[in-house]
Amino acid sequence: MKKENKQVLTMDPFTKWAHKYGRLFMLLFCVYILAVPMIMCAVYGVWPTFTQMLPGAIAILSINIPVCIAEVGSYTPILGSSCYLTFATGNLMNLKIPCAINAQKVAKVEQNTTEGDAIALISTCVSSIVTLVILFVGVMLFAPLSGVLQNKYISTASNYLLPALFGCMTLGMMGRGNGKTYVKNKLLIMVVPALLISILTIMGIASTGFAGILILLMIPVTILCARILWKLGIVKVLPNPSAVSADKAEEK
Amino acid sequence: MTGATLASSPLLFILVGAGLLAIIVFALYSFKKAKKRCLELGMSEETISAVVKSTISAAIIPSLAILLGFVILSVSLGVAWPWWRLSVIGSLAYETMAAQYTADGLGVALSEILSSDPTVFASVMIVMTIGIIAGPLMIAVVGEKYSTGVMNAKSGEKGEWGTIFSGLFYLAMFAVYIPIMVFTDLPTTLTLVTSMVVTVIVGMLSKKLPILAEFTMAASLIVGMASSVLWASLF
Repeated sequence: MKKENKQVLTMDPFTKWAHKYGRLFMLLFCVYILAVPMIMCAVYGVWPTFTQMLPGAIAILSINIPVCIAEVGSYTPILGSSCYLTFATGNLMNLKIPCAINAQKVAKVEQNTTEGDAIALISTCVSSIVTLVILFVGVMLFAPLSGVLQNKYISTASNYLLPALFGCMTLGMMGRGNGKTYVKNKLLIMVVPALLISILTIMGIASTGFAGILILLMIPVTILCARILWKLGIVKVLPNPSAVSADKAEEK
Repeated sequence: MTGATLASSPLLFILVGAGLLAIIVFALYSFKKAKKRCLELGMSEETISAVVKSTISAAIIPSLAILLGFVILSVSLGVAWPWWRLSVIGSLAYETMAAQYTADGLGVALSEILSSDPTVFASVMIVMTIGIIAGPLMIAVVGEKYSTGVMNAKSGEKGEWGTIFSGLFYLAMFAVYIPIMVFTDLPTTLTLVTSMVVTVIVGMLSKKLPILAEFTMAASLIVGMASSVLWASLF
């Protein structure tokens, strides 16, 4: 009986479609990105030897496999069914996730709901296309643009993209959101993990380059803190007054 | 033949163009399906239009930063390959690191890849691709179970704890990023604060002029990043 309930919850037609075709797209995409360098090598007859590639491959895989595991573990629950297109087009933290969160805020929908999932996918599609178009224009106007973009002020400003994005998102995170319920005292859940990361940052260990791994490490800490605070009755779910008043206004 | 022969090959441009076209087609089709679903769920055309406008305005500045990455990378890898790599999966940090490690392994400087033997450029292409493939493969395997599992926790039988649990990934992300930004250096902290202040101001203004709400993120990004130039020169 429980299993049947679960089926109904997970398999609404849109979610089913998004995951089925998302997975298919992702598998074809993996084959294609591997095929591109192989085709080039085959056509030009310039196959590098195994020993030529080995040192670079070991160095990059030893760093990147843990990072990939961390990113998939940390960001997939936030992205929902838009995870496929997001991971295919990259630029997660500096573009796709902030845009998805912003879109859910504009549409006044909650994360991890069918509505939130559909809005996140719309946002991911749009932000992916915007980047592809801008890069295409950049390729077409390569010569004049390279001079402008390498201007020292633009180079400096581009190094501060993440804090500018997080400044905007942080206030949204502090609010009660748009759902029918909200989590009272949810910011208390963050105290212990944020303190741990603060110490690691002051010690010079934590940096944005390792954020994916750090998030993966902090997820169990955050879950444990939330569980304790919930059991103690400090963190609880309450009806959202702003959603209730919006519903009343709509009824009128 | 040198690395530049491969890097500027019309075939590479065709392969990149075809791959990007396939992504655009998938994105447009997904957009159509998601929009239809939103309408079925009772959302208005106006809401969807506001989401699209807000996303476009918010995506332009980060995309320009990615374009800057493309310009930087194109110096050592030509135009076509960085165009492909920064359009799919990659980021400037990863791509530069992967190219650097491969070049180091071959005893070649990053700036010499294009003028070296073509097998050097071929090695760089293969290693950069193999190095990044783990994420997409993992998503293809676990993406559905993982994300629907979290959705179920929220809407399913687990009640109050499920609602709290589904938001914890988001909180963990902030618990990591915010302290790093606050304690790394002063210009980063001040850029974060400036962006927050702009968000508050635009939020207040949007109560009188609701259309502004769609451009909150774009405004915070532009002013926040512009202010970083000042903070970086002062501190």
